[in-house]
Amino acid sequence: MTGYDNLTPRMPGEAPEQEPRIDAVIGQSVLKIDGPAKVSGAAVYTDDLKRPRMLHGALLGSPYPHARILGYNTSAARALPGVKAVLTAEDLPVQNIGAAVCDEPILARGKTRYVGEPIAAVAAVSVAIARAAVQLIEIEYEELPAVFDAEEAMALGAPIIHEDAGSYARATEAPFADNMVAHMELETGDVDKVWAECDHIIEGEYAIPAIHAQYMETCGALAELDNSGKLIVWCSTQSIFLTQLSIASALQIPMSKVRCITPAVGGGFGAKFGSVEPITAALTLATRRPVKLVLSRDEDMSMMRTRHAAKIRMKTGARADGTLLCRDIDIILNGGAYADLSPLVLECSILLAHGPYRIPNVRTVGRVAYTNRLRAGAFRGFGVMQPTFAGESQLDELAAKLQIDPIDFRIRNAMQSGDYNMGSHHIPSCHLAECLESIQSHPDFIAASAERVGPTGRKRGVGISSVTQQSGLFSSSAAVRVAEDGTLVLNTGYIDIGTGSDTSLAQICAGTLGLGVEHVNVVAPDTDGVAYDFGTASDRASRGVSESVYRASLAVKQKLFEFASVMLQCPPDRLELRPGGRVGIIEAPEAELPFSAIVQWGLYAGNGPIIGTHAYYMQEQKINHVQTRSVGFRMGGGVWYGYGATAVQVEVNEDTGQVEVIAAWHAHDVGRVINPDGARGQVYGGVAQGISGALYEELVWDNGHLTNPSLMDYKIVGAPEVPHRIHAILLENRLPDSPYGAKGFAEPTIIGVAPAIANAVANAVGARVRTLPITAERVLNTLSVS
Amino acid sequence: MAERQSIELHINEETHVVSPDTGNTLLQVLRSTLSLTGTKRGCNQGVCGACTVLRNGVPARSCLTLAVECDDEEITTIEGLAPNGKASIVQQAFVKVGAPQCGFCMPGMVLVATALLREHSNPDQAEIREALSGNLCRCTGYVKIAEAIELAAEQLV
Amino acid sequence: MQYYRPSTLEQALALLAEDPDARCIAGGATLVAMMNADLVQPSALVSLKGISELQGIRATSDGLTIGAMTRHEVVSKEVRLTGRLEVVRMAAGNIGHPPIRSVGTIGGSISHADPAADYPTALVAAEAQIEIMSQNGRRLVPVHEFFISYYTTALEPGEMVTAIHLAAPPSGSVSAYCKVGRTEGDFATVSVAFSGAFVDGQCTAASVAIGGCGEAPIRSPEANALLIGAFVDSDCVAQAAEALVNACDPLDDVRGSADYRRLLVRRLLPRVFSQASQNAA
Repeated sequence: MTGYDNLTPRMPGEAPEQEPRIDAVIGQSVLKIDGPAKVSGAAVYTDDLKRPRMLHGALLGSPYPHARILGYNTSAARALPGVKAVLTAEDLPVQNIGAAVCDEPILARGKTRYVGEPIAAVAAVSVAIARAAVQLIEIEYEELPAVFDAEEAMALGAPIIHEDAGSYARATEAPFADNMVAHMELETGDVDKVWAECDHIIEGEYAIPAIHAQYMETCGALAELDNSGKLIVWCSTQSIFLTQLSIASALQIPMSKVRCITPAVGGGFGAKFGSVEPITAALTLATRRPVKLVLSRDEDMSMMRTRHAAKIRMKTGARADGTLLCRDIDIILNGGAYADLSPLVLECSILLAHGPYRIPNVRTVGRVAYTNRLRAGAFRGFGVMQPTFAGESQLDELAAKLQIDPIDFRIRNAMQSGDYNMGSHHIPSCHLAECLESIQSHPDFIAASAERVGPTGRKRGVGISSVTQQSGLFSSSAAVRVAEDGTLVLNTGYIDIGTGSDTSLAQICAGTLGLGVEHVNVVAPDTDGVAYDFGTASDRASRGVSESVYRASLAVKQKLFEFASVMLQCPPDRLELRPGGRVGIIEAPEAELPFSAIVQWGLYAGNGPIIGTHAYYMQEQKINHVQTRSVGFRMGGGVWYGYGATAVQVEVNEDTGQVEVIAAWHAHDVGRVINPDGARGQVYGGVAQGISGALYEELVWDNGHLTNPSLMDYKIVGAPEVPHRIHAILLENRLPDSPYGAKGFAEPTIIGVAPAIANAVANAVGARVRTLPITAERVLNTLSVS
Repeated sequence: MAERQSIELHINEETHVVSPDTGNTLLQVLRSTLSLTGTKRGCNQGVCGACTVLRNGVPARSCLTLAVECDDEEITTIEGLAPNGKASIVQQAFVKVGAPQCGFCMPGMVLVATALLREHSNPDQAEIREALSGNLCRCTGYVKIAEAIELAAEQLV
Repeated sequence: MQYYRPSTLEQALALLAEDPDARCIAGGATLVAMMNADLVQPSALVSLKGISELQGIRATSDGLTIGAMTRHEVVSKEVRLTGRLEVVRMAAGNIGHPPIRSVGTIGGSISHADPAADYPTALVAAEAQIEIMSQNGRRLVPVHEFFISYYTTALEPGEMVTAIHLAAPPSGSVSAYCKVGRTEGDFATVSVAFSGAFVDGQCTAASVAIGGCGEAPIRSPEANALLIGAFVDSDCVAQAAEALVNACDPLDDVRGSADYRRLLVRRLLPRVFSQASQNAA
């Protein structure tokens, strides 16, 4: 009927014709449950929603990077026919928001700190009128000196961006001062002493620019009031709960008066942790009408957030036998005008800057600065991409000095299961060496390594990078209820932003109870639902949420057995689950009950509904202060470290400097694959996004004004720029404590691409580019120097 | 204010009489006036391709097309590919290989693929990449989209 | 905003004469993008889609005439664009992506006069003549005089581009075109277009134009003169590149620095010249 045969439901409770295992659905490429809606235009995103009497919102952005606000004149805007509300900070509670540092008003108050900072908002009967009204708002400014570079911002005498920084509430213990948002250090061994023992040392400075996530769907929200006066906010977010908290906090209303819901979300990549929801909600409160506010592409690029620009100074030393001895790292992140998640990003940067290697002496010092640029926040890779670019570049330079194969060099120093990470965090499972070996022995990689020139005579080269990242941060929960017909209702509050998590979580639920995914009703994220979730980040679907889903499903199983044991008059330990949603007596094929009979017995004759729940918090490991000296570092560390390796083959045009990626390999220590097609899709996407950032992407500002706020001027990869051959190698070594053995892996697939490309370019033509993106111009400049 | 005039749009084999402002794009009319929200706005500048429709059978950016310029033309939107709820071969192939991730680019991708396969029954990788070159996707790396087109080509033979 | 859809050129020209702030709309690819971004607010739009005189490519007694409303895709497949005119076909095939080429028109593109676009450079190399009409009549402007500055052409109020005239290519003439952009379909960081001829490996006619390196396509009579008589390996090729570099006035922007663009001119000219020589052989 629908054309999708695999999605045609079989009624639960029927014995399947052939289904040998309860968990048959685990490890299968079952079709994504939202696939049909997404290919038919039926999937509903925030901007597709319409409500009766809905108004449209628009924002006025600051024209100055740093200015005092002396006064507002909104009378012309208010007088425009069709305008229903004009808001500035004067109309809002005096209240900042911010996940790590409470430093950010939802509309600029007293000062504006970057070009584009929302300073006024309008609600009107049409988008055109709202946008016209915004242009009629007059604001008197006193321009202030601005600072854009992170190091200049932290230098003595720099203009102070947050005069009240000392009074802000903070969720971090890191030292701060003036424009320094946070300062952290982590040191193990004795770095200063060991240099003398190193036979080879590489030292360098690396620059990583700010980039934009370029989710295809720009940020937006729709707010309205329900019958009880509660705000309902549909939003394109990665965390409904953090969004709910920020709305309630910014508007000084209880969370019980705010409900957040997500329709389909058109990508996030970390950068959609809260956007225009609070101001949209404020417009609804001001007008008592539904208001929708969706940003244009240039507004999104000027008003939302970036990946942290970074400057990394790094020094790595090794013995002549190829043993890594020492690494010293200095990380400077440009946080932009507001802290957002900067302190957390810095912690993650510091924790993993040493790379997934056994290096006995490591010191990492990191600082993040306020500057008069767009705020920086979470972005796929979460602070690890930047130092990895430096570290993996240095490993290749060291390998060249040592005359060792770069892959052998990495394998020799790779961490192993049972090792300890910086901060003395125990690593139960690490198969990095296997990842590296799987690429090294891949026939296509062997052939590519031997290929020094392409068919047109251009030089080719290969490059490698190891990858690590942590997964499963913070809290998750799940509730599973059995419906009267034996199907399952799964509520997690976790948002599928395109990762396929709705499907993989349905697989875990279904696979634990012997059903198919078509029997699992995955409830859309809703803060009025029963489950809490931190948000779509750090591969939490595979590690964290999955655990809650698994354990809630087991709780359901236990109840099913409890009820069935009364119904079948048989002790629970003699019962078994049977595929298709049945409970039967072991070795008595005829003695069985469908879930529907069990649940209905519970509802009308027995012990009530069958609901299983579970609450998860990461297994936090504390820093061992005997082995590791730390400053300002709080992160327990989740956590679960993931490992992988990325390789690329490039071709370099020495006339123009242009680099083309011909092929790519990504091997990952995934634990267990829940959905192979979905998993490969994540690898392809991560590698392509990595290529994009490595070769093309950079937000460019001129005196605080973004010069490329469009997809015309800010280029991301299209189909011609991505190699046809991306090899996704998923290595299964089950993680013992995890449901079905899965680890997170999708986020870090982006991390190693830029260093692998830099290494491949060096391998092809001898040019070592230490600044991203590796533009044609930078390659030529480096070639002419070397 | 803008002048309005009445035009006829033949969309997905239904005729709609609408009166857009001169400056209204086809994208605005499809989404706001006709509630055909399968057509997406990604950049409003003709770069991302999320707003692709078939205009007289040819992929076109509805954000760069004024509605008044389409008077009496045949427009196919993503909603028009499965008129009776039965997915087209191309749509089925996209789902089968797991191409959709966030899904925002999908309507444009599916329409471009549909037009390509009407022209070339058996495109090679280079032709597929060229056909997709005007449509941006941030999630998939285009690999599974290209795979879906290959699968659809096999099934259409 | 008024909207007119005249069915004859005469009507269109009358409308333009009446309202100096009216704009012609051809394929819309550029104009609508600018309207969406509020960069232009015309008082009226004169649609050219109903005017059959502006469509298509016709052979004339002395060459080819491309109607202003001819779409890039059509030009990119025009087999009569041979020899020194082939550069126009190559440029058309390099514009944007298929969905842009299927709507964008040559008249619309050159009237926008983006010096990083493909057509202006190719048309300068091919020494096209731009046919401009108004109610007062018709005039022909050599293409290099048509492009005046960034987004500025020789069009006067009330005028529009109606056609591009290309003189028939001498037999044995050749073209080559090279564009460096950041990604496929990007505007040019630098483009180099060459029209000319070779006899036994020696250049006998040369017309070079550079895109993306100044307010309009760059040409250099000195460079052309240096190339005439040159072989692929002659020192004159580098000298010609230097002459072009001297004629350039590139900017630093997100596509590359001015220095990088100058370097590309030096690198690409020999490549294009050699490609043309091979095409002749």
